[in-house]
Amino acid sequence: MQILLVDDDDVAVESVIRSMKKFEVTFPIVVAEDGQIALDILRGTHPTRKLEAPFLILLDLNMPNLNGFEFLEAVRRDPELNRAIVFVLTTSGSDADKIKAYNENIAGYMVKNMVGPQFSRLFTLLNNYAETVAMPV
Amino acid sequence: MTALKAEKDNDFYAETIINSMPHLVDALPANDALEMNILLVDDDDVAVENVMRSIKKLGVQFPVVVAEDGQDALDILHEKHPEKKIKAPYVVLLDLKMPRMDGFEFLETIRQDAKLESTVVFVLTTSDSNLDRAKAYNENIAGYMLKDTTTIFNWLFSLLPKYTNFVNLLNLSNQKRSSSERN
Repeated sequence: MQILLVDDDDVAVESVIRSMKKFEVTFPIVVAEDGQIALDILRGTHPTRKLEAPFLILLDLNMPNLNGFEFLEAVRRDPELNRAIVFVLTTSGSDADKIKAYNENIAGYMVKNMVGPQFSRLFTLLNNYAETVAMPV
Repeated sequence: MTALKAEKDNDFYAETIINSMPHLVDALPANDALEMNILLVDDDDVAVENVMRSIKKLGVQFPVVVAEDGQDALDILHEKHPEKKIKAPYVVLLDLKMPRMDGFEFLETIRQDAKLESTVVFVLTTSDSNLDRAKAYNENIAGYMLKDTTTIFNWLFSLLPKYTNFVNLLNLSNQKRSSSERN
């Protein structure tokens, strides 16, 4: 399983990658700095970054260019991308954001400070997820 | 599979898993930290019994409401069922092959229903067909799982407790409140 990590926050991205190494999690990660870059990667039009199936998406919400909600809408409207599994990973604990995200049928909404320290709980979840679920083909 | 064989398999897996992963048993959060209800939609008595026994064996206390088919599940979710009620937050554990309204019809219906469109659904099925898997993911399920005892255990024992602990599920009463606030 590969992970597309969509987040413009360098520190968050670095924390996730370091944490993966620390917990010896071996999911290859492709990083996208915003929703538009993520769409380019998913559509295979990004000049350098490639993502291979099966994958899941870890999505931040507040980003420049194309934010998390706009990205979700674009994914769900695109018949080639619609079936993607998306977990939201955000600093926002707002009910309105949570509702908007679940309305786009995300697999789960996670608040960043709940999955610490160092995202450790995130990787136990992803490990269990990869072991239990048959990913989209 | 006979009920007796299912029970034996179930006991075997429960003991194997618990014996091989005592650290996970210790790591399980206190039951009062877990707030999750399961709507199990399955017409197969043996499968339902398998899930129930797994829950009992593992000591996790996820309240389960059983619906025999998709229509029964819709009635429960719309609070129109005469007896069965489900509390938020919940996830749906959905079989695909059922009489009256099957899993795909159920998924299509809830995705077009303003009240239920955001429901988190895991599929639990005996079908390993790529076509069924693709169809289910096209309805934006949270995960497609093959119906075997090990998977049921993994889901209940490993994935769901973590999911419950830090995945923020939508509480439908919040949704209603926020909608009315917006209006």
